[in-house]
Amino acid sequence: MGRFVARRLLQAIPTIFGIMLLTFILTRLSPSDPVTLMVRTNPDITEEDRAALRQALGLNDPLPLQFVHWAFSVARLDFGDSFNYHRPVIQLIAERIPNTLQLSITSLVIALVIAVPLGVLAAFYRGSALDQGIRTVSVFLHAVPVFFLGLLFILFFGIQWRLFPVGSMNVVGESCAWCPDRLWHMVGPAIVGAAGGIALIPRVLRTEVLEILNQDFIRTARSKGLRERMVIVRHVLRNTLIPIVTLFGGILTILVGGSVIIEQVFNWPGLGRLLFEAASNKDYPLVQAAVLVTSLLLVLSYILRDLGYAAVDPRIKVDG
Amino acid sequence: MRKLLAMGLAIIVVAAACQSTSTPNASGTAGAGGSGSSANAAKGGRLIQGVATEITSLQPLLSADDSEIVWSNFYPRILQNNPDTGELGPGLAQSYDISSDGLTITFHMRPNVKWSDGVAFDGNDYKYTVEATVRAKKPIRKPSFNRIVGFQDYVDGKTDSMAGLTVSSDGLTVTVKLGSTLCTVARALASAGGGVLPMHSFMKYFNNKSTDITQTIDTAPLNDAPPASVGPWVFKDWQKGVSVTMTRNDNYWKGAPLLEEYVVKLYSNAAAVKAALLTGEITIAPVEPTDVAEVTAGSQGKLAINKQKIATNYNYIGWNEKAPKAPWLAVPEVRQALWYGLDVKTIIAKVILGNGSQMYTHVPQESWAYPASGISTYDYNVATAKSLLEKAGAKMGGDGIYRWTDGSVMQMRLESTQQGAPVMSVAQEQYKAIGIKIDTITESAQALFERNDPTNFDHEGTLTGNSVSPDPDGAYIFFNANQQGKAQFNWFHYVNADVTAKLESGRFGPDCSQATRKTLYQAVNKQINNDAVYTWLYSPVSIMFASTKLHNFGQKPYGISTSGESWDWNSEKLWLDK
Amino acid sequence: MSAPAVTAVPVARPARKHREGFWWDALYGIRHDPATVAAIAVLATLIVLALAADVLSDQIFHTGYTNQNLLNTWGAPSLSDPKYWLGADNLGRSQIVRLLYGARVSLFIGVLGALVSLGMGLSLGVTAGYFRGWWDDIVVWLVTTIANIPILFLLILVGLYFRLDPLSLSILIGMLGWLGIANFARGQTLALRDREFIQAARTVGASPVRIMTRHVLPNILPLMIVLAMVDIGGIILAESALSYLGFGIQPPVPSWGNMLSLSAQYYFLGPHLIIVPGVAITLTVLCLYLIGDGLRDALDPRLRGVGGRRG
Repeated sequence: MGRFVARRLLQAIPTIFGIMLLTFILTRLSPSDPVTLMVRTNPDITEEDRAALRQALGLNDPLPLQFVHWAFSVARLDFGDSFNYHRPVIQLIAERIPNTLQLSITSLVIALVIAVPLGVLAAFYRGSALDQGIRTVSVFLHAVPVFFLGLLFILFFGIQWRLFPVGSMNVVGESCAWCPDRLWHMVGPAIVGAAGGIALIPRVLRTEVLEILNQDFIRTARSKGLRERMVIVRHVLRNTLIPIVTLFGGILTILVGGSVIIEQVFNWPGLGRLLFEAASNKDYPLVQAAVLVTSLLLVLSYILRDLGYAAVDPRIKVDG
Repeated sequence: MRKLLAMGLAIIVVAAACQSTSTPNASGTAGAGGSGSSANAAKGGRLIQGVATEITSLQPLLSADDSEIVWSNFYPRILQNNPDTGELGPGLAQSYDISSDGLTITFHMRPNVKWSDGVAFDGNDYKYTVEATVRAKKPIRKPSFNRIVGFQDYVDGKTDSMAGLTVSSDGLTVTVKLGSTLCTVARALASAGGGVLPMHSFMKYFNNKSTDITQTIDTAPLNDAPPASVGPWVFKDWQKGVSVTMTRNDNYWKGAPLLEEYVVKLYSNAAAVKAALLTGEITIAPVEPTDVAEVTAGSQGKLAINKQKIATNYNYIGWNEKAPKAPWLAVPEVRQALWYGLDVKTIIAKVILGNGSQMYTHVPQESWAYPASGISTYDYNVATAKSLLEKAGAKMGGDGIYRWTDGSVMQMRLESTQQGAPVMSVAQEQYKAIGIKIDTITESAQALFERNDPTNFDHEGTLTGNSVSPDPDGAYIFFNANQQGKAQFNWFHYVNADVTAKLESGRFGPDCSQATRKTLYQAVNKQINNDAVYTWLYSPVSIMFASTKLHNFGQKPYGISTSGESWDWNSEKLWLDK
Repeated sequence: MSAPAVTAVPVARPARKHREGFWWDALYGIRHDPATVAAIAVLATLIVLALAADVLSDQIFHTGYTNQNLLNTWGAPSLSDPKYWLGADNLGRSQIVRLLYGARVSLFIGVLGALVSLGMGLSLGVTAGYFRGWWDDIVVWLVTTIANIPILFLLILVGLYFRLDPLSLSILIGMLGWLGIANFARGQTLALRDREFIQAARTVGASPVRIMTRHVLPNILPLMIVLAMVDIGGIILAESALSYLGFGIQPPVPSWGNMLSLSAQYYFLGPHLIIVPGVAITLTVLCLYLIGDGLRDALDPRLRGVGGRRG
């Protein structure tokens, strides 16, 4: 197992390098001058101030050198200062990560709790009205834009019927992470965020479960007279763990990618909203770091997923 | 995005502004206006203000954005605008004098003022703030003080004190010596550095009495947790991206606020603020003109509207006179035709539903700098617009679009932010009727700043907003031919030697008398109107909704700061029903 | 999405002599699938309406997508005037005309984007699977790298620097969205390259280009096209998300995304302005998924669940 972990981590290095290269190149494509942006609100800046800043920011070096410098600072978690916030970017990101994680994990849990039973049921009652209904719901959720769903939630549940808060993370003065007030505010964004997972999981799971049900050992178990429920518990559910873990990757991408939208619609102070605001303000260091950190988090979660995968599936050779 | 962006368009933040200094107003009690009866005022309670913006920093030296909504409650400027007239009045400095040569200004600090932690406030705090500002590595506000004698020596670490900035031994008199005349000196020195910092708290991070220039206040941990306040509110908690909570300052020199807590709650956009207002999550917030009917209907009588015509900004379309792709914009008749060709009155009535007053030049009609005669109002007239175009040499083409003298089609771009998109679309349609084809671009405020930088010529028409200071010197940065450098604000390359000369004497004297400046600025405002430098549109009305439980709330024409969300001229007198 | 080793990739059946026959099979398969048939009908109607937008707005609605009427801002839907059948927006522009032109823009972006990602995915995936070695390593590296950056984040990053029109936006989305197809094409090619018929072609001296275009491609193309069709839906969603955030198609050109983005500001004044484009997006994407699903089931039921969602 230790070797597997080490190998998996080694595999991630080129990916991380690629992500860094891509984000660096994309931010350096910019036709605009970062110094101008930094001092844009000050009408009295002199040309000397400008030159000094340019030097201090290392903008006069050749590009490859800038990349190396940048890569080393990134390794030290130094992403520079935000143009807008005048603080180290890493601080800003660190403040927002817990909020995004909290929302994403809750969404993930909701998606699993709702979608896994749906997928199993659809397979067991294959071809029934229930199966059709589940398929319809999942295809519909697949097709509806997340922000449209969010807007509808706010419009009806928030404003029309006043059932749930219309956004934000907590009421003023209640800022603890898991207190009821926070959970209450999370209802909307977490459910809307879970839609992507609820669309994806039952469709895949249904196929997988059907396959398991058709496998010999289940037939054997059934023919031995074991009660149906025991069959399900012992074999089917245990075997569905594998596709579920596999699906984690896709769902995480949906959740993280969708965080910009969800957090914008529901006014959730996470990494996605930070990224959106930074992008609107052309706060390049912050945009660059937000994209990079999010991607690295994804890489990390894929590694964890693969470890989990190796753990639940005895058939996988851990040296693979 | 800041509220002004939401309410109008991109706003140019004018840092330097000035006011007549010939008659320093030494007495009077600021903040007395609009108090109303507070005999039965209840104490306590929490006011929650919703804003569609992000708070970036609570250190004035590093921040020149909407964060001022918050930090101005702890670190006020030493002189304050009269909320009704915009005149510079007393604040932490109860009066000031300017020497006859205009080179020395003396501020008389209010005695017996205490910071919220009990330490006495005096002129040394002001001196500390100025010195911390000029030694800061980030040059956000540094240049505000570069006229003070000894500025450069102090910045370079050759001295341990700015020679031109001295404080009397009792701490109550601050004397500032300038190297050259500045008609706007009081306003510049009182406000351009942001607010006053508590020297006793920040001293351990930045010692101003030193020649070590590597030490700066930029990274002080207290920057995001203001330790003491000399304003009405004391910092309590900043939940990043969510809200900033403040509690009342019992030591506030105007008297402790009635409310217990004042919270600024942050939203990602105006629609989210509106929703929060309707659900009762917040007590007070700005609302778009187009949303007034809905909020009124949805509030079930729990919210009251408060409208105020404000005098601090206006919207306009600027025409780039050096646009390589639209050479016709250099011709005054064409710009006049563009003004005649736009039905501004209908735009005000239909797009912003009447919530704006039409503007004809850089200052509103009430200003003393508005000329008594000679202003053209350019009332909507398609025929006049067309005849002006033809007079300028344009020929109508077969497709209904004019051809310029060089034969090119009169087609150009008009750009704005998302908030300007509705007006821009109207302009696009109406200009078609006078034979000019418009392509529109919608972009972020920051992209707009970049594309319209005076060193960039690749823009034709831009729909945006200017903030206006109470002093007409505000026109300096927009219409002065010398303000065409990088990050300056003569975006549209307007060059008129006479206007430039008048703006220079209005700011730098030598005659800073009110009568002289009035003549100068009236001439300037008339000239830019006649030259149709911009197609002036309107000054928006600020609309706020507040809970009906809130008392003593009211907006004032100048009570709104440049950032648009502040009505802090009497926040200590607000109170809520139990 | 990431480590390609994990998912077992089903293998396409050997080459069929007649491609027409293959598609005929598929059509035969979905003939009894009412959902798919309905989806095809709805989508076909939408495409025809979008193509006929010019004629319809001229002949029936008598207005263009930029024509304003400030006297009827936020007008509610009304049957009396054809151009206000679906109401008017904040500038009094006809919602139905904007919806038609928006359909054109959204479908254009979806189709072109899917073609670009099909082209990129196939060329990279097939060559990687065929040649293996360092080229395969590079392609896999590209795939894993891009797969780890949320596509919306990448689009925002690029949208920061370039003003995107429908053409450049669809090419960009296509260039970022080819991963699924490349992964799949690579897996299929890897499985096919050692089959007898390909080895036979190799021994008679056929060039790699010939083998890939004549023998590999025909075998995997139908499935790839189905994948690309599902991708169209994903791309329409990505465009709408990007436009909602303000980094997508710029007004006054209407796309369903920017129509929604605009009306989201005014959801009190005109709920119909949100509902109509929102339903249009959902309906279109729904049809595309249903058709993709139906075709996939008809071609190979094992392919269910392949292809991801964006945005």
